[in-house]
Amino acid sequence: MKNNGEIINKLFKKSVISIIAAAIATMVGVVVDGIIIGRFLGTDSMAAYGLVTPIINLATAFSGILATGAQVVCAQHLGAGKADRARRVFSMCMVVTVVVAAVMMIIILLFRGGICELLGARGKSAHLLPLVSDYLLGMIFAFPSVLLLFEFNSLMRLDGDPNRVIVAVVVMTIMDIAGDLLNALVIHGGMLGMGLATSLSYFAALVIMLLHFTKKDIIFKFSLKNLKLGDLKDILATGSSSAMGSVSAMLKNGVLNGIMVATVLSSTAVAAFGVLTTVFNFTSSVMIGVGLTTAMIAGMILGEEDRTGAQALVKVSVKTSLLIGALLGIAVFVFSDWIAGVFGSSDGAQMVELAARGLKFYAVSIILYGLNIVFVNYTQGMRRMVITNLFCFFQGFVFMVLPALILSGALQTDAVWLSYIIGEIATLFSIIIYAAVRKRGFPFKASDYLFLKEPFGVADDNLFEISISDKNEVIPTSMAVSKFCEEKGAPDKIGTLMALFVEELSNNIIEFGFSDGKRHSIDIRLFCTDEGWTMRFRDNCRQFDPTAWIKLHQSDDPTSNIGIRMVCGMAKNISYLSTMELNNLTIKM
Amino acid sequence: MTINKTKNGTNLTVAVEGRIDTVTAPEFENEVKSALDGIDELVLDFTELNYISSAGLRVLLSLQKVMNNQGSMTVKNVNETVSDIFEVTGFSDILTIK
Repeated sequence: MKNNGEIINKLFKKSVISIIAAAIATMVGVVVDGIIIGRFLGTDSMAAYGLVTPIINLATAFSGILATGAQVVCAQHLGAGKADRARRVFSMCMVVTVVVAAVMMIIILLFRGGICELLGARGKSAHLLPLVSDYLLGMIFAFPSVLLLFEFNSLMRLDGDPNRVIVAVVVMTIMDIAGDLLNALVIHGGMLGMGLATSLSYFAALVIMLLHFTKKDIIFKFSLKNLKLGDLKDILATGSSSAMGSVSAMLKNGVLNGIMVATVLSSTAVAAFGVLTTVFNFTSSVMIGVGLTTAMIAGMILGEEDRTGAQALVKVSVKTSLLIGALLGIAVFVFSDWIAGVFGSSDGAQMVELAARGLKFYAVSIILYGLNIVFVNYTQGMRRMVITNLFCFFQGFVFMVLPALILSGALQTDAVWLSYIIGEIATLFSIIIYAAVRKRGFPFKASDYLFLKEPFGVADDNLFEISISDKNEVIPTSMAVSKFCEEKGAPDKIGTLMALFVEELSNNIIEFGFSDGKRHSIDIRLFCTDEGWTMRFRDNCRQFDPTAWIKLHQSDDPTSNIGIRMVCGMAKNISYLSTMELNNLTIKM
Repeated sequence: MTINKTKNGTNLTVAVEGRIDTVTAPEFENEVKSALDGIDELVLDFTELNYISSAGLRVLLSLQKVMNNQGSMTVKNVNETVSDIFEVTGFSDILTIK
């Protein structure tokens, strides 16, 4: 019997669905925004909408850095059982977010005209200035919500409230679409109305998210006490790969656009590349959802230095990305003509044909992109930031732009389409080579791709790990724990108590947690360090804190809660933490 | 778990070796209760008992209730760990421990 990784597998699958659903809902909102503006407000409004995009991208880039950074750092602290530190990081993240949002709003309010000109509403496009200015004014109120929503999206999952994220995002998308239609068809509020509709929908989602903080027993409670600048440094350093990704994508698009302009087809090629970029934004947001899930769980695993958990995570994230990547790739390949047609009705058959060809090439790269993005996010979650940023930059820029530049003379537009495949293959090879160098051999097992910073956790010899998913496994596990302690030279009393904790807590979890008819599992880790013996129980049943329970249910009946009383009474230190809808109980002796 | 029963008139001494846990507790209960007819003094010798869980404690409580009606029950030779378990759970106040 050993740890079967079932809890990590289930946690991953459950989280990835909600994260991808949130990403798709957000994407749908953005796409519909563009469609409604284009269809009902005309070409100039559509152009104004396009000009404001960099500002929106800037806001999401900031929130991306803060959100991914805070998510990984908080997950790491929670994995280590340090809820107070996670709370401190959360508070710091909130303070910085409010300051950044306020600064952005003030700058835009004060210098709106200049910013609009800077965005491109000048010269031949000067007539767009009022439209850009109106839209920016309407959107300005969305900035605090945009920033906070991205962060809550990550942090709510850690705080065991993932469904709230889905509800908030769905409400936001529906309100945005309804608001846009109302503005375009009934109110005729122009671009200001479109901006306000977006702001209102984001604000509604924010209110739903904020209601989380009215709940009891949550981890993230805001406090200005004990804020440390070191936490901000950690957040920014860990979130830096998000910025690296944005910068790489921006540079890549610039260079690839340049290549397209230089081709024989020029503007048609640029339009076709625009179609591919839009499809890329959608498919990559799905694959990035898999990556973000990986990063979040990796952070928790890093905190508790759980090598077995890391291995389980690598396996499940690779499998999931291969599956989703394959499905998306097949869908894009099969429907490439239709997708290109949707975008190309006004741009002519040549553009549609070119975009469809590009999409077919791109479809092949999706599965590889998913695999690579999972590794980039995994190393981010493990806070191997130099490797993460290098992989990110090479995957997002160097490995794509170089082949495109080299091949463009001979292959014209095909050079750009091929660069998507070549770039991902090159990234995958670099990951494999990196793993091979670390291993000094061919890396063919999941354990070769853990990229952990050694020393990591407890040596295998001093570690006992097991998973229990059935009542019949409890006593054999309890006896195995006793034997392990004896083999490691622990005093008899330690061995007996550890075995006792296994029996009492496992039976309790099975009796009350497994009763909902779903399949559950309990992971038990036992290890000895210089600080003494530590035993950790983790289960994916409904939330239950035995330490709080025993305080609330004091009784004169000697038979009530004997097991929990035994454990709480005999452990030197016992602490409980619920994160990502998992119960974590740590006992020290 | 090994159980050795020694009957001396109305006195029954039960020596238990090993573990009393969720699996063995029902057997322990059956073995002892089946021998309680006509017994007015039950002695549980835990010299070789190195493990008792809540399932075992519940059996002890049940035996104590039976013996309260027909005599007395004593637990003796308890090791340090088992003694601590009795202490933490309040069983040291319920049982007669020597």
